[in-house]
Amino acid sequence: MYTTRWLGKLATTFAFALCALPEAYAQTAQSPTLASIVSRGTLNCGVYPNFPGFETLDRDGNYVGFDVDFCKAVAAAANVQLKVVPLTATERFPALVGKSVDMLAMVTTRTASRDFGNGLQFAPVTFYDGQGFVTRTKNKIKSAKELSGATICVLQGTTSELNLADWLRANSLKLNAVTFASEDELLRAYEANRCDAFTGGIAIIAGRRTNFRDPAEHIILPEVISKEPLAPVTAEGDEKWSKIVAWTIFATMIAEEKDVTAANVEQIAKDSPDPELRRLFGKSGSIARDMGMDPDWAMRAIKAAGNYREIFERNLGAKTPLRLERGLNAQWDKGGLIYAPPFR
Amino acid sequence: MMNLWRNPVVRASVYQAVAILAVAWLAYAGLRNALDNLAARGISTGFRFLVNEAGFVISETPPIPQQLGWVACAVGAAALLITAAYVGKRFSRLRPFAPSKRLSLVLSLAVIAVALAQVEWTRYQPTGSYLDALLTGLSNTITVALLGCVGATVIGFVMGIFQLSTNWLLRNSARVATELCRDIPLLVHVMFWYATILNFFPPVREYMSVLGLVHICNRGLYLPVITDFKIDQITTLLVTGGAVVALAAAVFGRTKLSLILALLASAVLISTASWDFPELQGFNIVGGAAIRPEFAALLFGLLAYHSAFIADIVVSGIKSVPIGQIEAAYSLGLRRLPALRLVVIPQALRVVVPPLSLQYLGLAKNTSIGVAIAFPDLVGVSRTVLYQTGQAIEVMLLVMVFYLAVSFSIALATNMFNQTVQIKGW
Repeated sequence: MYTTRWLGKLATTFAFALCALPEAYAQTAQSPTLASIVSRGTLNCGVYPNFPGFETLDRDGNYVGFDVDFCKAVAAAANVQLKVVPLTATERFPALVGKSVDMLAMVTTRTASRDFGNGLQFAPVTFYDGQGFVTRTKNKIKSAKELSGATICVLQGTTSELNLADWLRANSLKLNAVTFASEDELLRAYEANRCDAFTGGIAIIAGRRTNFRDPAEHIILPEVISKEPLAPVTAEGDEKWSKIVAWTIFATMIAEEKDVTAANVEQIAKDSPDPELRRLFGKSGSIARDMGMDPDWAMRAIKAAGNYREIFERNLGAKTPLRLERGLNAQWDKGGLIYAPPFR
Repeated sequence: MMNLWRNPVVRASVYQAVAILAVAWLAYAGLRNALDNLAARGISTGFRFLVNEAGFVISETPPIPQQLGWVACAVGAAALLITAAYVGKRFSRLRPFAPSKRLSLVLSLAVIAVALAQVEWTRYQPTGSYLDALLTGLSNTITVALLGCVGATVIGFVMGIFQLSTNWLLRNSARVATELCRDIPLLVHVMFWYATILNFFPPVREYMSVLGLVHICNRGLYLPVITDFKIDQITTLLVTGGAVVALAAAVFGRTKLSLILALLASAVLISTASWDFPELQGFNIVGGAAIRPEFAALLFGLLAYHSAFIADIVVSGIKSVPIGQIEAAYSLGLRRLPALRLVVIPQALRVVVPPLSLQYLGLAKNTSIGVAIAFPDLVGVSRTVLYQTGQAIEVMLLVMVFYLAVSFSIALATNMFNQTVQIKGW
């Protein structure tokens, strides 16, 4: 009697343990960052307070822009609300590593020292930029090499600051640099003619030029003195979360390749015969489960932000004040560098 | 055992030991925790990065010492000297200390002089190390702090004395100016001066010129500088001869003769100098020495703000001198200025110096506001270093140590000065 009861208990425990096993397995496999985002119900995404084209406030006081759209895509993929956290250049890495934000999408250049020394994990490059110079049209110069002896304003703590010094040494030019901690102060000083030119990522300074009283008075010189691959960033130590962010970005690129847009994604997710899209939208395979996401994650992400082309054209393209060409940021089969690995 | 515990000395020592252990454990745990977390997040620690090439441009590069070992030696000797002076003072009543004290003074001064003579001074280049960059920032901070303290003291004293003037216009304009400057935050002062300089002075192509020698535009005030003296034997003879005779004349009380001779000697010397004149070349004015708008704006802001407080301190100091003292001075036949200089100010200083030293400390630390207007002070440079290296804790620690050193030196100097103005024997 006692023995049977005891055996019964053992059997029940064993059964429970068996049932709990996959559960426990799923627990260890899930990303802790994703878990805390889901339990909190919001994704905290760090952006700059104001960076025309990449992150700015619209008339209703909401953040919009190229970077913000990638935050939106990730938040939608995780099925949570997006909370945009404005950060300065100096605050951003400590905020990310200290887990105040879950990711950064703030025109951050990927470099080796940032990869290894700062505890950062870069997502795929969303924008291939290069550093250039803006100067006044009335200076009548055609090349940055004619800037010899000029004063250049540069923003503190950016890769531009180092690239400028490297480029000067490589070309044996003598320039005076004035280093500003805040972008606003820099632009004011440039407008007051404290410096002859200012330097930064070309896409970024193209955005800044739109803020001037008469943008036509300022030109972007043709020299591109650096490679500036801009990418969102996550903190090191949660590979799964980093991969989720990476593949959300890839999903927007795959969507552009396959002409999936925010408008038609729901339809296509439902009845596309394309095997890659069926895998992407959770109709076949188990990739979503291995990611720790539900099958509709990619559909939601593209519905929220659109595909890569839509994100680009909405914020930076010909119809925006920045009027940027796709250039290096075209798809790989159109002469650009945007290339998502296969979704299989 | 119980008896031992009842002993108040033993009990107190045990409490102290426990408290010290607790604090030490907290500090250790905090450090351990920080190191573990940094390691877990893949952030490298330590000060090795300081010797790496900095690679960024700094707009203002005052000379920095190249051999830090000798500077440390000089600082150590100075510290020893000060300690010796304090100890000497403390025990001078117990036994005669004078001979050894004098010996230690001479020895320490000799060590300091020799050590400083070994140091070569360089200017930061982008090829320099992160340490050089930080030292350049520190050097900028010290320059502004020193000029600020001296300038604010002079302006503050003048404004304070004006506030007590019998002249209605002088008194009231001084009061209004002090009140205005005191009631505006320092950051606004600095931003105001920066915006004023940038927008008031002409752009570089339309620079203003004084006698074709000094150029002014919104990129700076450009002055001609002497780069070298072409000294031959005749000028050496003339100059040294003039200087010796001038010194002799001064010793024998012939002030006017001495002055004229000194002027003549310096005129001869200057006539042999080769000058570097600023001139417009391409985009900028090159040559000469430049005072840049960032430096000027920060200095003006600090001067305006802190001299207003110093003026108030001076007023309170002068008012603390009993009116009877001033009346007594006048009745002795002293005129206004001598009465002020000999009777009022020495007594007022006792009240003035302690709060004045606080102003100096505040001013030295407030130089960090230069960050807002692109002045490369210690904080400004450290932000770039922090950024490029990501070594937040190490860089902040260094910055704190540097500021501590600056503040401690100011506190020490003002304390020593304070002792000389206090009533003796107290």
